[in-house]
Amino acid sequence: MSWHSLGGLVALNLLFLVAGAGVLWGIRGWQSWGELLRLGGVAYLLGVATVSIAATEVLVAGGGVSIPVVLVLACAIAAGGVALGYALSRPWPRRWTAGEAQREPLLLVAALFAGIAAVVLAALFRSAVFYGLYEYDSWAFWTYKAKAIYELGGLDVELLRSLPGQTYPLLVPALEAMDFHFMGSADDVTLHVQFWFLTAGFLGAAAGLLRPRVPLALVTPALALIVLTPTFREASVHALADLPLDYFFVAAALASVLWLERREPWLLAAFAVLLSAAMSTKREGQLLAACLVAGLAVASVRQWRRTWLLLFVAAAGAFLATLPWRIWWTSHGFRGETPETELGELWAHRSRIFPALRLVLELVFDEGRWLILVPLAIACAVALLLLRRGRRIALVYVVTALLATAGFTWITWAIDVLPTNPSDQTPIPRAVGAIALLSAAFSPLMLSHLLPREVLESVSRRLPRIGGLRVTTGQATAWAVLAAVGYAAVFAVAGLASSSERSCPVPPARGGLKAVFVTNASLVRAQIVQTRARTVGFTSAEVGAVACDRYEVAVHGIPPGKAVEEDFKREARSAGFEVEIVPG
Amino acid sequence: MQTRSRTGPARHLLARAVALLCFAAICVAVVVEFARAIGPLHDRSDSPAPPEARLLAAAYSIDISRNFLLAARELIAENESYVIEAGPNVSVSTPVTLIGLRAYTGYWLLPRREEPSPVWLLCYGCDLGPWRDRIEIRWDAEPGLAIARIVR
Repeated sequence: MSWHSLGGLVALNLLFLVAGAGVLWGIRGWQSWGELLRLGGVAYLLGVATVSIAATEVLVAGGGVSIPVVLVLACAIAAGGVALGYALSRPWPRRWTAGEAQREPLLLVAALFAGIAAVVLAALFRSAVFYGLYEYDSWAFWTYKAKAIYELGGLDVELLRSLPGQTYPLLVPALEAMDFHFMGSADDVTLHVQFWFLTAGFLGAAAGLLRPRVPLALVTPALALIVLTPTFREASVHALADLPLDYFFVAAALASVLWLERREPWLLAAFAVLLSAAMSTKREGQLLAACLVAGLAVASVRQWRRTWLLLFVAAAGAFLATLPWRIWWTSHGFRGETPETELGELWAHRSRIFPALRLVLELVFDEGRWLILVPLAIACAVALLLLRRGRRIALVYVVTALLATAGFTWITWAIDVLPTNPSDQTPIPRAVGAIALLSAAFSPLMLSHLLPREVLESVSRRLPRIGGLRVTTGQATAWAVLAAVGYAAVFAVAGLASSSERSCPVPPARGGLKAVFVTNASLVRAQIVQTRARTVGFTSAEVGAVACDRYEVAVHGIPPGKAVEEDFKREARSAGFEVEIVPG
Repeated sequence: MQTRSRTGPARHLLARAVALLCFAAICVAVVVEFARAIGPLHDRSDSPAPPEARLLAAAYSIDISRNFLLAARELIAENESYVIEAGPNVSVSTPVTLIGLRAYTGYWLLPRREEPSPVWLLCYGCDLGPWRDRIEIRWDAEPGLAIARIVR
């Protein structure tokens, strides 16, 4: 990690936020600054989505994603949003809060769980800044493509052809290439902080979309549960496309289901942008998008006249943005978009259907990976369907999750090299994260229909008061932030206190004289000099440590005497070395 | 929000009980998992891999010689090309080393490219015999490994 790289990443992500805020103002506007703060996560995800999709189009058109290009893209997107906002006479916010504050039940509970989520996020940040690029898929193609885009100034057909996953969508490589430009180098350690930003942005977006409809006491425990799932703790900072895909997909699902409920046009626009980003992130994005659109269509079948056309137009618009990349790779003869198994072959290995389905179900319900996210959401959905309340939300969830399960089963079934054992190497454990996160994000929404504010308030009244303690939403937020900052500060101080000077033993002097070819060099530099020295006849040239990570190359046992020393130096000079004779 | 239900009171109560149970389950799961996870999370954050390991993380995980990779980057100019020859004349701790060698070296050495008429030979346990008369070895500090400039 370097501060320079970190600063570059922060700048780029602020740029995403600005671009997304412009888009949000254009499609929605906001009444107050507080509302913008609440929707900050949505603005950020919209910014990442729009700028990164635009960056992939620039790459496909033969350009690069250097800092000026990214600045132009982000400013153009923000300006486009602002222009749309003016055209639609969106109000400029003049107040901090929008209208009368809503009473929040169980706010203390909400603050506690927000604090837990914030502390885990702070711990994840600390691990992100020092995490190396270990994952095979990262260095074999995702970050490989990004580094190639950064180093070679754009897409290189032959290089892409030589890599696995040549037709995989470009959003993540484009995003990482932008990161490299803003960091000033292909720093694949600090790069992981980008994925932390996406994680934090997704959690903020989910909270922003759920609020103010869903009480804070239902939102923050669900978000805390997401960040605490073992898979999320492990993989949320990995430089892979799986979780970013899930973030875009789940945010699109939340926006669309809220649109079904509230019919606010901006939610449909946000759905289209986020769905497009999901489809531009991974091939599975198209599968998940199809499942979601089908789920929305089924849930709105009674209002199909006023829903389906808008829904399909938004989905088609989202798909359009993925076409340039598709045209590019098909025109270059790349292959591998979908499993290449033909219908006859599929039928031939039909014995894989049930093992494939079992694998997907085992993974989805695996408590060791996703805790209880999926069973909880299923219980809520069943309860909603029983109660005939919020049925559209339950239907969207159930149909989308079932279709996604069927889709992942089809992938495992169709690609017969994929193992059907969860312990083996298969992408399905990462892919099912979409279903798990969908479950986690829908749970508070479904719970809010089952446990309306009045119920939570009555629960709140029956709980014993802790010294008559009452908190406001602002105080609850402040507590969560304080918890994270306090955690980070305590461990930063502890880390500084525990850091000590490294001890690097240097071998004792052997006595006599030595001819030093190079000193204070890195180990490989010293080895290179040693190889050259040996090649030209100084066969006893040795590499020795002189300090921590610093080495010299020397020939020991030079006999004393001016003439001998001069002869040695002359011989070395004729071979291209400037040596120094010193006591050694 | 709809507050009245057309469903029976029993179903209503059942649904509400399920919801309360779900809410309680979420809260309990968070507290239990937080207590279980925060220690390992601290440990992972407090003792990150040393900087040199982070820089070549994958080389550590699939056990490619770090010095080989660093020397290749030091010797090969950014506009020069190379070829990788792998072979059995090196001891590796896992077969994954030789499987991942080409991909990781390609990633590590970018913008240097592997090309059919290369300037450099990266030998990872290869047989140098056929190359002997047209290479100058520039690094051979580890058994079975060599980096050589190809003489034309």
